[in-house]
Amino acid sequence: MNKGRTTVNKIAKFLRQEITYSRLKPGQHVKEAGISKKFNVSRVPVREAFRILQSEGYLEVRHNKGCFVKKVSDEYFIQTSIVYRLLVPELLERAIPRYNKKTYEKAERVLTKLEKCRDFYKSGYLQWDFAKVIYYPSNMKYLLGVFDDMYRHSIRLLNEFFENKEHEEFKATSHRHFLELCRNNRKKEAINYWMDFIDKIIAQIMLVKKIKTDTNYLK
Amino acid sequence: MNKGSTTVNKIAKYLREEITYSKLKSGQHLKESELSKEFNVSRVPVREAFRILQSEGYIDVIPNRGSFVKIITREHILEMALLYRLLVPAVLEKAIPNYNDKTYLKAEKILQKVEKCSDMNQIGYLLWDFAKVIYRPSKMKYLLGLYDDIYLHNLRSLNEVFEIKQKKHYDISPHREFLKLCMENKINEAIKYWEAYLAKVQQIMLKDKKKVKP
Repeated sequence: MNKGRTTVNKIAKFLRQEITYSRLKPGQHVKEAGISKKFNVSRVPVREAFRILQSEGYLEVRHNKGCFVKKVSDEYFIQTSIVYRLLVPELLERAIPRYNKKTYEKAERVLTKLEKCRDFYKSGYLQWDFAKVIYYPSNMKYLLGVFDDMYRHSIRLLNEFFENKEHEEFKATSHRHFLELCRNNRKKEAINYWMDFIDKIIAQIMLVKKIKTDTNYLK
Repeated sequence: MNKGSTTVNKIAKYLREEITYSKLKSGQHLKESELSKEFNVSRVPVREAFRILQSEGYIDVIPNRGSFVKIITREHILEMALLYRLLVPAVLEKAIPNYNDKTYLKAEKILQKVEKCSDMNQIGYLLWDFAKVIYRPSKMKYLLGLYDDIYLHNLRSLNEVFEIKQKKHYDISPHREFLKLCMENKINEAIKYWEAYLAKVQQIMLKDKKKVKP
């Protein structure tokens, strides 16, 4: 069982790297047979790895045709960014007053993990964990569900972003400053600061990915 | 096949009405066996009707426990209303410039149906159709998916409100005014107008919800 898991993770990691570094190109066919031969395993763990990468948005399964490297759609990024930006102030407005000692402890644990993290394909998940810590106290279940959905489908993008060495500064510093403002009861400032931070990340991703848009709802 | 789906629709319509008129109360257990006995059919169409009502947000199906009339909390509606309102300007900004003759024709057709409609189970659907006509031209698939989700979950509340508020017909003059502004290319005004209208509708929905709440 454990050995099986390790194989699956190894294959998944390999595929993520190949896709991130464009050795596998968008639209390229990824064949089960080839991968199982390369790792000298049956097709079962390969299929499992495909499933994981599909859920992370790296691969797409086309019915009766097989597995292909997915192209991250610019449109999806733009639209989720719009929703994210609109919802964050609403969630934080309600969440921050409910932060307690446990919230700050949890947040600190996630940030420590983030700073130590060298597996780029995990940093996306850790950023998601941090988001959960700061947004969940809002207790707005429906909107939090929308958030989770967005994160689930953007893991690839986040991994790619935080893997980039130039983006080291985005990793945890701003998170700490945000928490400090919250701790000092400076809610308004905290929200503004966090929004600025989000805008910076969105702008940076658009720059790197050469995404253009004329919507007034993204700066 | 055809008879089967008619039975399913009949059961679904019956359940919808029972729930909307609150003859079946929020949280109440719905029993497959009783319904299949009442309609003199097997459990298969009953289960299928449950599935439809589940997708429309009328009931919750809990594995191993059964089906229950869904409890729509005020908080839940508040959150959806908030998301709906926040997205409107971003969607309309993209959509209105893409309106053409066909858009206005489609919108008008739906509004005429609303005017004639006296079956309050239909009004929610018609307003959803209208929303599709005015939001779809934005071509923002992800946001439109969120809207569809909100409508599915709120059809019942919409229907409930119209039943309580509008004994006769639903007032569609705001919709016509909105379309008129779009036609005159007054995009910003149209968006502002529509936002104000939505705020009003949501206020009414939430006020009624307060009253309905046990």
